[in-house]
Amino acid sequence: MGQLVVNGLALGSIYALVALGLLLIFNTVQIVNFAQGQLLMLGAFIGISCAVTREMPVAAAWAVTMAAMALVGVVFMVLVYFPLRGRPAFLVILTTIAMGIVLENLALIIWGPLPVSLPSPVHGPPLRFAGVVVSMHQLFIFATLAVILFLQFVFLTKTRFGILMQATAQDLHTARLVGIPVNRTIAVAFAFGAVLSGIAGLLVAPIFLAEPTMGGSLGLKGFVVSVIGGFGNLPGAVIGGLFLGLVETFGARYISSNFRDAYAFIVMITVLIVWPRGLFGEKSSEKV
Amino acid sequence: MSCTFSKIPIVVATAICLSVTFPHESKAQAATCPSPIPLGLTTALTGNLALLGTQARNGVEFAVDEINAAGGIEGKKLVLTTEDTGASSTDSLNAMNRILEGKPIVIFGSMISPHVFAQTEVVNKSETPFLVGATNAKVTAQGSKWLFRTHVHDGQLADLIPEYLVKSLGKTRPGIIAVADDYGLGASRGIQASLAKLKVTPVAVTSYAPSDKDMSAQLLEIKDKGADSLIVFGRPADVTLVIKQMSDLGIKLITIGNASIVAQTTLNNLSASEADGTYAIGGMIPQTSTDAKIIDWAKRVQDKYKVPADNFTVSYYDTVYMLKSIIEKVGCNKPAIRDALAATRDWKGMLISYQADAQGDLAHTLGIYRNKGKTPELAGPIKESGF
Amino acid sequence: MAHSAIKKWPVLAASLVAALAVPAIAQDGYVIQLLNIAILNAIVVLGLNFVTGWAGQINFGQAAFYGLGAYTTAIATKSGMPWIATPFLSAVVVIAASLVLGLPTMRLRTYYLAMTTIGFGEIIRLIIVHWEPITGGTSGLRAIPPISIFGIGPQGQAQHYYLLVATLALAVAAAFRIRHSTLGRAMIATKDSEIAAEQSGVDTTRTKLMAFMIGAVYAGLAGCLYASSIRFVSPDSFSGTQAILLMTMLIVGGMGSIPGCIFGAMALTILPEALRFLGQWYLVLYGLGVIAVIVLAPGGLASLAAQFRSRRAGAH
Repeated sequence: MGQLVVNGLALGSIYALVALGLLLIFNTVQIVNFAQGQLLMLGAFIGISCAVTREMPVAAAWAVTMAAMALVGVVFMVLVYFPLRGRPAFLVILTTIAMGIVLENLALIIWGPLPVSLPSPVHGPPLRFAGVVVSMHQLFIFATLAVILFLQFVFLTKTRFGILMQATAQDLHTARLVGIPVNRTIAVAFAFGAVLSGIAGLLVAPIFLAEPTMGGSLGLKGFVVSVIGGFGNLPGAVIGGLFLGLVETFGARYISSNFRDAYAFIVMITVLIVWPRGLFGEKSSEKV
Repeated sequence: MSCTFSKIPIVVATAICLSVTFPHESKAQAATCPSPIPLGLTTALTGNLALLGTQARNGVEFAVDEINAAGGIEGKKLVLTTEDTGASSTDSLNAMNRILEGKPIVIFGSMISPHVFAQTEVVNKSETPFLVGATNAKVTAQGSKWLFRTHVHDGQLADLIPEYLVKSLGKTRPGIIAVADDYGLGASRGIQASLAKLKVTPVAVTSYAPSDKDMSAQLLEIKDKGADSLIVFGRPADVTLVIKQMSDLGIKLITIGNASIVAQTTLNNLSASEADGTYAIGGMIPQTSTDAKIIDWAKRVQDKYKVPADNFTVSYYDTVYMLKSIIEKVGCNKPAIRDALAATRDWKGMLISYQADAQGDLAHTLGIYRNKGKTPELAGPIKESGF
Repeated sequence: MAHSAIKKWPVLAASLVAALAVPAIAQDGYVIQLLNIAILNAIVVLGLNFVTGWAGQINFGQAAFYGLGAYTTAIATKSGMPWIATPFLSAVVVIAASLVLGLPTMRLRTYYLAMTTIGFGEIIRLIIVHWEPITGGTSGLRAIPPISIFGIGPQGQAQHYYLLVATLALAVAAAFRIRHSTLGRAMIATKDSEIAAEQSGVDTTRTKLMAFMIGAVYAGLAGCLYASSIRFVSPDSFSGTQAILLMTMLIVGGMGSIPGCIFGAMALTILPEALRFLGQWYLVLYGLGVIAVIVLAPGGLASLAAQFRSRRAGAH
């Protein structure tokens, strides 16, 4: 049973990372990016192109991937956010879904459908204690999540730019009026959001392998986590992610493995019925 | 008497030739064929089943190209029209309708059973021989006299895997893990039924969605319930994850499953220690052959299509050549081809020989494989009981 | 409002005549079969239009209602129920399902509603896949009995085509009537601004629920006809991908516009077939096309047509 906890938490950490990327973008521009999973997939494949095809050292591959994903994030913003400013939410949803379809099929054309592996940045025998096995890579996933959370907290609350981003998130128009470089903060949000998903992809590929359709399911779980934790709420996303990872793993083990995907939705729907604003409440106010 | 008079109408010439038994008979039979000879193929070339579906195209196309390069069938080239079924059964029906417009002599269907189920009725109406690799046991139970299957099917696997596990490997407490699509669930049910006949009950029956990446919950359940072996049924992409995660979790169980365990795409992503010792029973693959010509064939197929040849590639390749020998004997008359297919006796393909049974199944020989490190080894062929 | 309705009659009559003439021109089974599927999709999209186009509620569950209607009919007729009862049965099932989906979710905001409807669709699909004894699981159900009322039913693709065109015409007429009724106006008011609508006395929750139910009934009835004419159902025809496709049909055709629904459904049923030669690239172009329509012509092609017409009118 302890093993279920370890594996559930590892999976949940991935979900949390996807949700964090989603929320970074959502907090700033009120867009839910339904292509977040495909960004994860892109990160994985860019990493593989570096580390496997070009045989770069894994650390260098990570650095290049993160830089590339930042660029992808900005391009994404230009293609999706600017043309759709002010449009109704569900047109934006459809647009990001369409972007996801484009990215997935381009990936199929470029890299083919065969699954590929990526080496992990960490090596070594797994830890064994109390009948539980924790691989080095799983520890790396936990560590990465912790580091990212810490850095994000420091950035958003302690640095000037981070505080500006929070202001922009709270009220875009006023922020602009007050002279905050709104476009820059939006670009940073998209860039970081993409990088976070790219990192998730780099973490996923060594254990789950990478193939172009991997983004759909992971992205969906990221949204579910965002809903459970309450949109806009970063700690909520992390707790929600870990929670979902555990629910799925325990549900598959003790209830039925057939309906694993359904557990995520059932939890989400239950949360929504009981707490329409998410478990931890959301930050943004109702737009009339 | 020569049957190649060009002045006499073809029909008369054929009639004359048919009425006389001469060694040149095959030339006259092929003379009933249009030139070029139209063949149709529907398979999944895009969508989430494409990884599987393209193997049908690879096998058929490679054979057709080879035959055409060698002059075709008695001088007449084959022309293959391929339509993409995509992932949905509705689209597969549209694809079949398109193919039927070209009035092919024979249609090759894919190995994706829901698509074949959707297409059978309209093919029956067109009275065209339908050669498929679809592995759901019930495909040949539809009562269609035009449908023939030239690849081994899940019904056979469902019998042979439990039998080998219990009788040859001596394991009596298996856990089952299967992919939750038509392929895996159908096989899982069949395997459970066969185990019951052997008076064995699986300790756990689990499945995972095709897009699932984390199978640890299912594996842990199987381990916790005291399994001594694992039966795994899935596609190479997910079977890779099952084996990998089993190794990560430190679970050591005798593992046996379908051909995905020895597929190149699976083995490429596993380490030697992860793959070592796993068993597979399924359609025979070319990579373990000791015949240099077959290895060379597999290499040429891989070079052309960038994907390793698998059991389906071999089966579809064989099917085209089987068709060639039938056309050489009976010409391009569709009912005659159908009857010849139904009468197939011991036709030697690349790795197995084919024989038609009453339901339209032609493949009855499977291979038992064991991975030695990352290399599959053929432990031997195994025949369906009664063949 | 009445003027534009009257002006449309010649166009409507002409398109009906053209539609009826098709089987005479296009003799072969493939084109007519494809058109039949397109017409069924059009009916489903018309249903979606109530919910999304008029009441402004995002809904990725429409494919699930389509599937529920199809499977209900398939299971019922295969168990021996006379066909005449199946449309009613399908309608009852989807109404129940739409209430299950709608009642708890009517107060949810856009993103939450999107996720919930996706979840609903996925749960329905999983039930169909794993309830194998009843639904045939992933193999689906085949040899479904055809449409038969007192022993008479359409034979062959062309006759099915006429029946479907007639059904579509009925669906359009009903949609038109609802659009110009109190309920229809309430839907549009809800979409524009819920708060303002509530102020004017509209019960937005009830309106949204009605829209959901009507949309579901359209899909359920289309599903019934799908099962009885294609005579084969499997879960992959009603998946999340299909739900997204239905939404894009609505957007590309023109949300809120009845002819837009039909046009979008036709276009996005026929295009993937016509462009099959593009292989994998088709989906890339499809995605880019949808984005282009949303960015450049958010009212869909129907709005482009309206612009074109008014520009011509302005020129005179």
